[in-house]
Amino acid sequence: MKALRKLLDKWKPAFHEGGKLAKLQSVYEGFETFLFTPNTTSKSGSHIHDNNDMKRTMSTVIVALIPCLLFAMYNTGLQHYIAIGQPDTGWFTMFIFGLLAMLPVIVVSYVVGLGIEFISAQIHHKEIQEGFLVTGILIPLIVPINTPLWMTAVATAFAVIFAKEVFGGTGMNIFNVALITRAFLFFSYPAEMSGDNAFVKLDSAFGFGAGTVADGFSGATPLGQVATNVGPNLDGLNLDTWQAFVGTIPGSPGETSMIAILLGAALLLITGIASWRVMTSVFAGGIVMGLIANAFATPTYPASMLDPLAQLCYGGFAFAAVFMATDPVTGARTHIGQYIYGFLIGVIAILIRVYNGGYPEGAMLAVLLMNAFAPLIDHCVVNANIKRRMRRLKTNGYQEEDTTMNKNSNIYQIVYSSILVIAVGAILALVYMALKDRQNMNIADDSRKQILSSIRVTAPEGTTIEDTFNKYITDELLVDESGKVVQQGKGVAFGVNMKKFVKEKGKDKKYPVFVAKANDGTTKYILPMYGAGLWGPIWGYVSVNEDGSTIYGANFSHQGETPGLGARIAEPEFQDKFQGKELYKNNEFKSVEVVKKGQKGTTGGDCIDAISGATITSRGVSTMMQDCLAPYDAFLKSLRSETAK
Amino acid sequence: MAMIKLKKGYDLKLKGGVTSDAIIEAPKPAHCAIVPDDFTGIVPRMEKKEGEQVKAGEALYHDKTQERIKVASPVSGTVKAIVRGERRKIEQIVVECDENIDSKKFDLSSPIDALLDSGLWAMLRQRPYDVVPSPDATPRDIFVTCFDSAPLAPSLKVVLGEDMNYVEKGVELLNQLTSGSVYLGCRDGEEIEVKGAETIAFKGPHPAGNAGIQAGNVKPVNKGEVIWTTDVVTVARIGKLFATGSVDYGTVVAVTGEQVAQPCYVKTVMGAPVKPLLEGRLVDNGKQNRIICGNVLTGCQVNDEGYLRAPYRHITVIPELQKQDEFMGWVSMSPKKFSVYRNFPGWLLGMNRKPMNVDARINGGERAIVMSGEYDRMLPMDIYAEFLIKAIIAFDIDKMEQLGIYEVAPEDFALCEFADTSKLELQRIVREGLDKLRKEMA
Amino acid sequence: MLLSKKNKEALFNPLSKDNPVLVQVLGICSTLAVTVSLKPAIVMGISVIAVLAFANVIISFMRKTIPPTIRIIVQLVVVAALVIIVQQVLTAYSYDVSKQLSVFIGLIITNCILMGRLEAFALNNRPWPAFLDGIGNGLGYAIILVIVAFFRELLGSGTLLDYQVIPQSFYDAGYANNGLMILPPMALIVVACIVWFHRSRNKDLQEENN
Repeated sequence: MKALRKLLDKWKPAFHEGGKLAKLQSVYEGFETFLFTPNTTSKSGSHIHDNNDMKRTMSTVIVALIPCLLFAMYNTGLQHYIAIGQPDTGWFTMFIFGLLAMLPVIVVSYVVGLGIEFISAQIHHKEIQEGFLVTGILIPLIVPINTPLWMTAVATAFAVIFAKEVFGGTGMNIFNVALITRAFLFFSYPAEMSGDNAFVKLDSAFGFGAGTVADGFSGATPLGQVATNVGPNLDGLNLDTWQAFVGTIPGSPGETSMIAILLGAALLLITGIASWRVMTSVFAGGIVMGLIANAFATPTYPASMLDPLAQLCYGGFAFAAVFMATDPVTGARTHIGQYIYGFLIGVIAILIRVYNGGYPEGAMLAVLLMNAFAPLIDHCVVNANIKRRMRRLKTNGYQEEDTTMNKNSNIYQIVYSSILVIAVGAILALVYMALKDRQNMNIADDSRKQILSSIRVTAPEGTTIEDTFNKYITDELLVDESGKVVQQGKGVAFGVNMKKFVKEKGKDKKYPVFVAKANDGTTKYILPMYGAGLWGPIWGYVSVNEDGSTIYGANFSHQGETPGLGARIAEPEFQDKFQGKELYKNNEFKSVEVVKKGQKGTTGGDCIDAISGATITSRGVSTMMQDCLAPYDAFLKSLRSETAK
Repeated sequence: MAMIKLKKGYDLKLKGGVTSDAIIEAPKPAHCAIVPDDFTGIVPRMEKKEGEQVKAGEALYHDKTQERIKVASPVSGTVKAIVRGERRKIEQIVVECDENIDSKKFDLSSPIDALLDSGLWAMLRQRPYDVVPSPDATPRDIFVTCFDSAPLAPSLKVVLGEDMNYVEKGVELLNQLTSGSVYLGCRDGEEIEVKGAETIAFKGPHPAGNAGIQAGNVKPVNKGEVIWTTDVVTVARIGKLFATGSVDYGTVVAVTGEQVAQPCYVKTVMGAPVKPLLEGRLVDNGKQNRIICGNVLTGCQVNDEGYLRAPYRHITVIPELQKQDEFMGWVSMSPKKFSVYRNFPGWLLGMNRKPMNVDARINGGERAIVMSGEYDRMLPMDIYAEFLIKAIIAFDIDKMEQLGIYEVAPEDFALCEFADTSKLELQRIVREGLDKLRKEMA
Repeated sequence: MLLSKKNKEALFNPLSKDNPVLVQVLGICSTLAVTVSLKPAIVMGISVIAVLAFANVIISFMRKTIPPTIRIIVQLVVVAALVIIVQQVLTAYSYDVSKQLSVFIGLIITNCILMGRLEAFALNNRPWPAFLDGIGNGLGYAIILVIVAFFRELLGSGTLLDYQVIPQSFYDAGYANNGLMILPPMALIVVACIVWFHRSRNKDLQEENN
């Protein structure tokens, strides 16, 4: 050790003011204080100090995370070998695979994070603080293993800069930095983050463990499966709570094993580093919400059917409760505040998980939300103390300001306002009348474009949409449920407001049909649809061949689906898949189903692959087609018989 | 008699406590010194020049703004040196002692004037601001602590000795100066009853012996009020002044600490040089010594040539460094390392109940406040310590007032400073905050 | 053209030194909403310039007649009327853009820049300076919109003005568009970065720190 000390002393001048490497002073000091307890003695105040310091505290947290880390490596390997069809590989091989798979993530996390922290420390001429030691190991544990490294790097950089350094560094951040990293990834690259591709490493790690993915493999986490469950109960999913407790399920590396998390929790509680108040409140809140959800369980919200205690084992809930919610900097700092803070995290996490279809896991969002409220909670708690003090005050409080208003009843104002309103109203009416026709024309053209798109036609340059429309659309019909044409003529179908139409009830509804002549010379029948996506309405048009079954083309639109996910139903990539699919199998109306990749359809009819990560929207398309096209059954069958003739 | 149980705080067990009540008479000092910094809030305006004669109890200087407040010489003799520092600030005033003590006689007709002139007034403190009280304001109450709960602190009973008899007179006088009561805060089991004062027993760990803590648990001071805090030794001195007509600045000092071979009580005078008191008593183990006047939490470091500083009854000597260049000390699993936290294995082996080795190392670098609840568990007052500290650092006056800045003094945060994992200089922060606030509100 | 010193200030200050978004911190909501891609940002910018300039002029003309107690309402009415006209014109002549901007055009009424400038400038100045102030602030706002939209569209969709800028080879290599860029929170952070950059260049905008 003496030799090491001598070496450091020799290098010291180079790293300080005037030295060649003065810019790396914070790096030098970081290492120096890491290796040797500084000999600095008290200059003011207390002459003696406790042996505990920030380094010790942070190290204890890292030690508490080791069980999770080790298990994460094993589990990554386990899931990988199951995926490539070799579930009986030795556990040590699995562990090595996981180690090799996680190592790059750990390295990236620390290099990017610490790099930025060192630079920050240098700029501010302060010692580098130990906060990132913990964050750096948390990030690889909560980021799905299949995340591309460059994304993790960008997310870590973003989180450290905008969620930490901007606020003043360690101890000053409002939001949990590791969770911000995860949230950034989740919202920036939703396709890669959710769904079945994220949580199981399918490729080899450094050439180790290569293999091809077995057929029928699904990397869905239990919560993911629950969220997309259809049917009155969860029996079909074969959820094994014991497996979830041990942790041999797909999921983010550190979050799966309850056992490992509890070991870590034990260490944190014994050493008193983490607040037992927060931990127990989070679990309490989760159980309470789980019980409430269970009490009102319904298949519409599949997760409400989960057992409340099982809820705690799934997903990132337990990990968040033990390692994220207990972060002292971002959580509540008063004892009473910690109870409230923890409890709300538990409640909100399960609430999001159960009742929001878009997010199968709510722990991350719950903690971040409560991070924002923690200061408010503390403020209210401290306020009680302040009120006590104020009541003892001898000096009097301030007087209420006189806030009575002076009401001015000026005839001038009334006259003025009336003239203004009338004048403005008149001007607006004129403008509207002048522009109304053009506006309506634009709206109509938009619909026409969509209808044409369903028969694979785009209006060429130089022509108006209306002309093209009239060229291709030869007739418009209104048919009833028996298939009889009730009305015919230009505009009868176009005039139907689909939004209102789908809401109507009754047996005598008249369904619109567009008759078109496609570029291949044959007649097509275009049927409008209107339904619901995840965030708002979706609608579309599907064109059917003369045989009344084969789909020639489809066009879908939406109002507010997630860009990159649900919004992709409006892209040709998705719409083209419908071409050639059959609506009828064995003379029975089956519609076309949109199913998750790797799953089988339930109706026996044709299927389309759902958009990865956009299960709800895809399902909405499925439902919309089923609901809106079914009434045309008689009509379409009559077409079949016509063609058969 | 009321009993108040304090739950927060901590009793640090250090090596080197005094075991016997025997008092050793120290040789007469050749010279003594008064350090103006010991009298917080007083800016000295000299009344004596170098070379002038001064009697014991005669004023050396008065306060620049409040001229009635005087600080007196503890011994009679010649003013040997007025040592100045930066910007002509008076660092210390050295008085060369006469063979015999020539005490000044005071006119006792006006108690306040007698107190002011004799320099005993300057030994009192007030809350808010923890400064020497202004003679113009009448305190709402006066809180006298009768025990020192700090690590290795002397028993004030021993320090008082026979002067215990003057306490009643002192209390009688204090009663004339306040509109309310005089409270005596005693350790549970060692109560003293004095006519004219209300005795309250305190049970609990340090800082139960701080007068300010006691005040905060009996009747906290509010904005616009003034309370005085002092200890029973000063009250006895006041009593003696009004009984005998002259002030006695003699004192009994507990010489303690792990670097002291035989910790003991020594009788000497306020402001005496420390070297003779420590002569031959220190352990020779090659470690550099840190000489502290007072206790390890709130005391003032002096060098070999230094003089006995406030509170003039306690010296602690600890090693500067137990170990030089300790390799990765923060990882150590040694049970010998003491911590109030369960993060070190010592508590599992019951090491916390044994007297521990200490040194002056900070054991970490200054960090941002991260862990929560560290300060609150060491401060037995109805105050959210962490939030108050943050308000002081931000100098948010409204928040400071709301959170109780007027009730605290730096010494109340000493234990918090010891336990702080972020190694902030809490006492300095509070001191500067109080001084800045006092200037702001003036 | 009456471009006296005061008028010049009214026109040029809001472009940087007194920028409505960066310095006055007005109009943040629409900055978040319409900067998903460049085209709507440009259209919105132009719309705001037009509405602000003309609102300023109209209110300035009327300023001596407006009863003080209802002046906010009068301002609102004028702005609302102008915005509705803009909305109608867009729906008639540029339908795709109007679809993209949809509610946000209507939200110009609530854009703080308008109320802010009407109160601070138009009520106390003559029509011509008010007009210049409107142009200036609208332009300052539009510039920021364009900058933010530039980054958001480039990083969020890989396109600029709907034209694919990031080559397919990047995507094949594993690059993905940053979905968070299309959402409002990222817009806020981009604006924050621009403010950061702007302030570090303009030292006099930095407040004194203890």
